Amino acid sequence: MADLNLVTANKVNVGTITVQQHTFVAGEAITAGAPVYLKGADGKVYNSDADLAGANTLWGVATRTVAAGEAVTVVRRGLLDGFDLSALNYGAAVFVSNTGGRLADAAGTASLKVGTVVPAMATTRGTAFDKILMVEVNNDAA
Amino acid sequence: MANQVEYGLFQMIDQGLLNPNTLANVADSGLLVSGILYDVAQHNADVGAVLRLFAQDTTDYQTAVEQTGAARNQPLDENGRSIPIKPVAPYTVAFPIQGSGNAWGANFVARAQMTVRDMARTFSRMYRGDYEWVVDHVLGAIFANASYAVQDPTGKGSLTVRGLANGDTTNYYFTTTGQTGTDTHYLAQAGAISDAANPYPTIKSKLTEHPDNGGEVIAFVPTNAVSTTQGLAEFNSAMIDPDVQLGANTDRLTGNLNLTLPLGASVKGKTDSGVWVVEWPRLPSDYIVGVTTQGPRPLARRQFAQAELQGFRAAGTRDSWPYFEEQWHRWEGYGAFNRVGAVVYRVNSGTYTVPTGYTMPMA
Repeated sequence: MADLNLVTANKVNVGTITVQQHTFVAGEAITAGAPVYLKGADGKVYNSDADLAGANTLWGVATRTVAAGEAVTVVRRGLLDGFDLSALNYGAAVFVSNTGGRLADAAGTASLKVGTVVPAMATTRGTAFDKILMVEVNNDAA
Repeated sequence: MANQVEYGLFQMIDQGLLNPNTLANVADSGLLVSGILYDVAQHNADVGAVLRLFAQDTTDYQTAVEQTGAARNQPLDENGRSIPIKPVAPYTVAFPIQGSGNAWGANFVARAQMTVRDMARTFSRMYRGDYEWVVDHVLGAIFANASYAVQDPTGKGSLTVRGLANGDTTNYYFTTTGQTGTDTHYLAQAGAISDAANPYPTIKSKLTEHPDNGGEVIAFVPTNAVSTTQGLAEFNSAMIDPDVQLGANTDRLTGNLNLTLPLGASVKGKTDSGVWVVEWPRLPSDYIVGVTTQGPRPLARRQFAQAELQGFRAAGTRDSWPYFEEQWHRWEGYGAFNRVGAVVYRVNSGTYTVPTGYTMPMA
């Protein structure tokens, strides 16, 4: 399992066709692109962690870097760009990592699928399609 | 008062009519709209420069291409009557049509912060993407040496799209022999261009031997074939700079092709055999494309009949707070029309194959 990095630190691009998103208050510092879960006790979002009890659930992916107490929009279904997905195949699944607040190319201790790698096809002929993340969190992961 | 001279967005910035750092939502909207419309018109002109040489427009999904046939007067005496002759049977060609497009979008903050320069750069990139798509498909249709099937989106079922003459059973009329026969316009030579292996006389004859092709013969040459072409004994350099005198005992090309060329293309000269040589860096290495300036175009561009579905245009917007996007699209397709109206000549390989990345159908 390898954690996925952002191409540019603290920057994800939100596709304008996000289908489902919500804006929460961050319960702790969260980095752009981090998987987050919704804590039942306070209604805030925290970094998901596939091998940490209590954090091994998923609501969606944070769209910006925030400090605790700041607002953060989280995408549950929609397109996000900005991850280095070059090592993954198109259609590959992306999961919550065993590293808190990170995505990974394979399932962690808890298998929490974040979405799949899809092509972005505005590249010129002869150039491989770009790879972006289609976030598709199902209800079971919440 | 409206400008007497029209400018695009970048020209307006250069002329000082628009401050590039001005927010787009507070800049003179009339100037912005005028600039965008000018840029669209210029973009369509750039696309038109390619299409004018290679494609003519149609809204038909399929057509029969008429052509001249062989004939000779029948001998008669005072009681004789000629037997009525009929025109040569046309050949049928079909044309695909497919959608393409691009979009720009922003959240409401980014949109409010968008400057005139941001807007100009975004639109410029979209126009470039559209130009690339058109040229890809024009060249793909030219390079296709085998017919292929497409499923028509308008309910016409499976259509067979054809390339140039490729040795198939279709007959064409040859002025050189006065006869009809099969032909192939996909050629190849194993070696580089040289006086012993000069493709240009062949390119010219392959085009001019058919009566429908007229005007000037142009060979669009990839960059990697320019130097070997210029090394030909029959090559005459164009006078690129009128201030520069060529050396003594050098033939000088004084004529002018007088034609709007595709972006990046430039006239290099003309051969004694009568072929204008135009470098077009857009071509894949080793592939020369020959056309004539008059006569039916080698391709047809199929579009929808409705004006709002023609060309590259803003198709719609989606305003889903906090996101906004504007979609631009182009719906059209290319297939061979005058199947002897162009020649593709591959050098440095003895076998013609479709260049990498140009296999049809193409997305």
